Amino acid sequence: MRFESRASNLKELILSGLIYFVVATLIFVILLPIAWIVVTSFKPEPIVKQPYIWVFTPTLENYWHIFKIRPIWKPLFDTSIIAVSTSLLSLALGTPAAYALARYEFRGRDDLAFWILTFWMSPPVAFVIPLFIIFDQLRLLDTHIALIITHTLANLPFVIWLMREYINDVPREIEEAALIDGYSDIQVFFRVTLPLIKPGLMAVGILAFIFSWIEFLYALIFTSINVRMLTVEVTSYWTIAGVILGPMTAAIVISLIPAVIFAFILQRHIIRGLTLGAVRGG
Amino acid sequence: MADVKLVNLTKIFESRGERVVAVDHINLYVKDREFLVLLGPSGCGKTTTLRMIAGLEVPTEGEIYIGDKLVNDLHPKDRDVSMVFQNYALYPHLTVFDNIAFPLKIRKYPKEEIRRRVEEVAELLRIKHLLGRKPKELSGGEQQRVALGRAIVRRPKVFLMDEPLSNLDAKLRILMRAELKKLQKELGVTTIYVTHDQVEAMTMADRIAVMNEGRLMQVGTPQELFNRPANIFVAGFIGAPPMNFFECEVKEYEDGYYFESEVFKYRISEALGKLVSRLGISRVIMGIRPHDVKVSRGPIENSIKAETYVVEPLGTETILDFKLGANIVKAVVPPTMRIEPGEEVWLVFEEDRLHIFDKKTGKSIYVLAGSEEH
Ligand SMILES: Nc1ncnc2c1ncn2[C@@H]1O[C@H](COP(=O)(O)OP(=O)(O)OP(=O)(O)O)[C@@H](O)[C@H]1O
Ligand SMILES: [Mg+2]
Repeated sequence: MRFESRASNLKELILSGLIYFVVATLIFVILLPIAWIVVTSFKPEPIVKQPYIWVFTPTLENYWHIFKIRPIWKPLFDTSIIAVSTSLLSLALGTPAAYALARYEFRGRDDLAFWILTFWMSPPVAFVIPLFIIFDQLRLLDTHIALIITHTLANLPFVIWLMREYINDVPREIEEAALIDGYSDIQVFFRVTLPLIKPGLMAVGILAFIFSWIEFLYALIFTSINVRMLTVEVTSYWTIAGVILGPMTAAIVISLIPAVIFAFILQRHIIRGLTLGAVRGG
Repeated sequence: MADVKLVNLTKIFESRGERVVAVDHINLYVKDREFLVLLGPSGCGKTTTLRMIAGLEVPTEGEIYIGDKLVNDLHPKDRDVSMVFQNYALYPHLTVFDNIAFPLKIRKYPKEEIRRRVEEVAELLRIKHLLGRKPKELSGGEQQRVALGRAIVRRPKVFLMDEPLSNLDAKLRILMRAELKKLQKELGVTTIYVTHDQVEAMTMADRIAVMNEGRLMQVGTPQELFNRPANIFVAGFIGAPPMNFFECEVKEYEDGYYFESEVFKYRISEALGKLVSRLGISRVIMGIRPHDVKVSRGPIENSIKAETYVVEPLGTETILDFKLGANIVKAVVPPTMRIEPGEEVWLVFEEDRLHIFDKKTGKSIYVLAGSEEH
């Protein structure tokens, strides 16, 4: 018995050591390029293309470049408009849809829900050409609206799917109590259900925001001069004359900041959202 | 103020090809101001019935009237009922005060009146000190009283209560039963009250409707149900300890009629024998309540010999278990009667204390004889 338990302790020790090793390796592999980009963005011009130099006197000249010489303000503004609009529109359309799928019994409901989810699994490239033709006909190419529509469409499947989970976590009886207490169906949705899924709205809204913020393919194809997303802007430092590495890395760092901030907020809300189930009475 | 009428009310759930008949053609009339208890075992369709009356579930068939008005197509908010949910369904984001005030706020009562009423109700339910808390900071019993408060703060046409006291400790439950019953009589609000606790049903109800497997088994005052159960189910469900049952064959000999079981022969009166044979019943279930079983230390006429098996003194009375063949018979006797396990006794069943049911249909022969007259 004792021997056995000691053996299993040893096994556990090796196993957890192994897990730590794998996780550490993964983090290293993922973070190294980012660390390298951050470091490079502070390098002075002469050494900017020498990746092995890690110790130097940092400079802000690359940031000066992207804010003064080739202003990043416009892409930053465009991206913010599009990401915020996408996030709000996705929630505004997705939440009622999710509510219907969660709360109303109708024929083929589960099939419909799954069908919606399959769009999430399909490759974005498949939609590029039809959407391009549509936007062209509607004179919407190179506008904010084109990207807001596209990003919202791309987001809706997972917004609906996730919001449905959050809504399912709200006991039906709480809504029914409100119906009996005197609310109409619409009032119940806005005054009872929505307040209860607020953590879900936050989490899913942030996910949609991040998705839009980092989206590249649609941005590259549907917009060019009038509207410029950060992801596209960053590639513009890749010129015929070569890669302008300093300002490019600085632009990447700037574009990373909101995504990182929101990722941290998201982490907190996902944990909060999952405990929503605990509000159940009895 | 209103009466409630259910006509052929039926609910069939269909999910993934499975059909569950939750409520099966119920006909029930609840009088204005009445306290009606829906009593039945778990899963018999009590909650489903309440939910249909409240408008939360669409009946598969049948009609619901509240005060002469057909309400089948009426939205829950327009039916003017209030409901206590079996699992409370409190609003988790609101305080206890706001939970109870909720239905009044929706109906735009003046602020001052809302405060007064909520405090009144909180006082009655002994939760005044909890008004500032959120539901998740309350115990189960406290949450349940908040749910009850939210229902009784209003003066609707009908109160619907789904086991509203199930989570209270014994002492508080007895107190709340009395308070609730008193309040209901004061307010005169028609009440349909669900429970599976027969003591609660007996003590609170004006009338009890007993349900089993979606069907209504009997409706009547507690006394009627206790004294004249219409079928074996009601007979076995009401009363504690439960009624003793024996399966007997009806035999006619030269000296009269007998109920014959595997272990005893019990002589019955001419009148009873004639009644049973006229109804064409050959096998009966004979029932007698433990309180009605007489215990004798010596053999007397038409008594049945049995062996004492278990003795449970409860103080005010003593429960005795006797072995009768393979059956156990329970009797309740005064504590002054001292009997030891293993002792031989003779059991006397008085005929006017017997409940007799047709083995085939489970119906009481008095019901059968009664319906024969019409
Ligand atoms: N939404 C539903 N879908 C399918 N079957 C259901 C549904 N709701 C209830 N049932 C079934 O209907 C029957 C009656 O349920 P109901 O909740 O009315 O019982 P109950 O008498 O309230 O029981 P309890 O005392 O345990 O609360 C049960 O067999 C139950 O499984
Ligand atoms: Mg129930």
